[in-house]
Amino acid sequence: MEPAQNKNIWNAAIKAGVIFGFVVFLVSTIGSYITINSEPTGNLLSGTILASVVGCLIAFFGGFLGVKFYINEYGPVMKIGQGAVIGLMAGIVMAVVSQILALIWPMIDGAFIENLQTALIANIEISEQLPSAQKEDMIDAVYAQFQNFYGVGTILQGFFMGIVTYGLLNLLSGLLAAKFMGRAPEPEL
Amino acid sequence: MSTTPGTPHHRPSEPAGNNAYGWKLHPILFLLVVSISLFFAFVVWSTPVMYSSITEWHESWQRVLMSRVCHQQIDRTFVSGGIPLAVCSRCTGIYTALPLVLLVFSFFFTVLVRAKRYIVRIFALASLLVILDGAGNLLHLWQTADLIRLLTGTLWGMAAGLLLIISVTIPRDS
Repeated sequence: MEPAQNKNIWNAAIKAGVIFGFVVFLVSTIGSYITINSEPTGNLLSGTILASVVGCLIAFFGGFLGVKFYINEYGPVMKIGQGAVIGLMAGIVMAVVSQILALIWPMIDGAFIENLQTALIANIEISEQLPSAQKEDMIDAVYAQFQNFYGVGTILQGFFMGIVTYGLLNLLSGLLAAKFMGRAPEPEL
Repeated sequence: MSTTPGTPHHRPSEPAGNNAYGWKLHPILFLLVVSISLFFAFVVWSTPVMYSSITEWHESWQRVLMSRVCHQQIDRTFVSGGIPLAVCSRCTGIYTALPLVLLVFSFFFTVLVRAKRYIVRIFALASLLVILDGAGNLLHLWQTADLIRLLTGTLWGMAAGLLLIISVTIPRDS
């Protein structure tokens, strides 16, 4: 059997991360266009927010896919800690890929940010879920958020938040996958 | 090889993990899982303590962080002192139950390992419940109260916590 230290977990993690990073970006972007092309309803559960959540639920399986790729490559014998590391790495790659794509897309569709901002603000304006004073505050906050879309701080924050969320969630899913899909190595005598 | 019924030590002919004394919690992974769940619980509950206006809440790192895992719709979120928590009522249940279950049931991990197949079923059932209720709400088929959402989220969080404990339980001789 191949020694455990020669097994490269990066291949599996990168493959799973890239695939799910693209899927998360795709779902999120589709959600944004649903928001842009819908009439404002006042419901704060907009397509963008919904897509982010659905995207994240999908992204939770990045750890599973990473472990599956690893098992396909090296067989089911693995420590559960390896599953956790694969999940963490897949989550980090996923966050980086989805964030980079999210930064590139507005360059392809030049009106994307402005349209999305307008649609979100229109939704808040006619919302009945917020008192008017809070509504104004919320609109200001959304406006500021989009004005700083390409700010260094915003970009770094996006990378960091993505890495924390996707990294930690996929660490847990990688752990579960290693336990339920893998097989523990025989103890050395 | 013969065995003595009722002997507290594991039978030599069986893998060490087949009795209550053959298992242990992986110390590092258990600590890691508990830390992560406590971190998310802190993020969820800290906004009403740390912020005093809805603008501060909207710009808070807690809201931005959790926006990737929750819709944070204000009318479906518990509010304390006029400031919403960082996630909706269902997610509040999930992120609160998870660390509690991990800490409480870590004392009974040997029982959990024996009941593994039932826990997997409980998790599947809780997931189905959350998906059905979530989909029903989303499609406007019905609207469940915040407390029901909290309850379904808590159930899912508890089941996930039990699964995670099983995941970090390893044979003592490994």
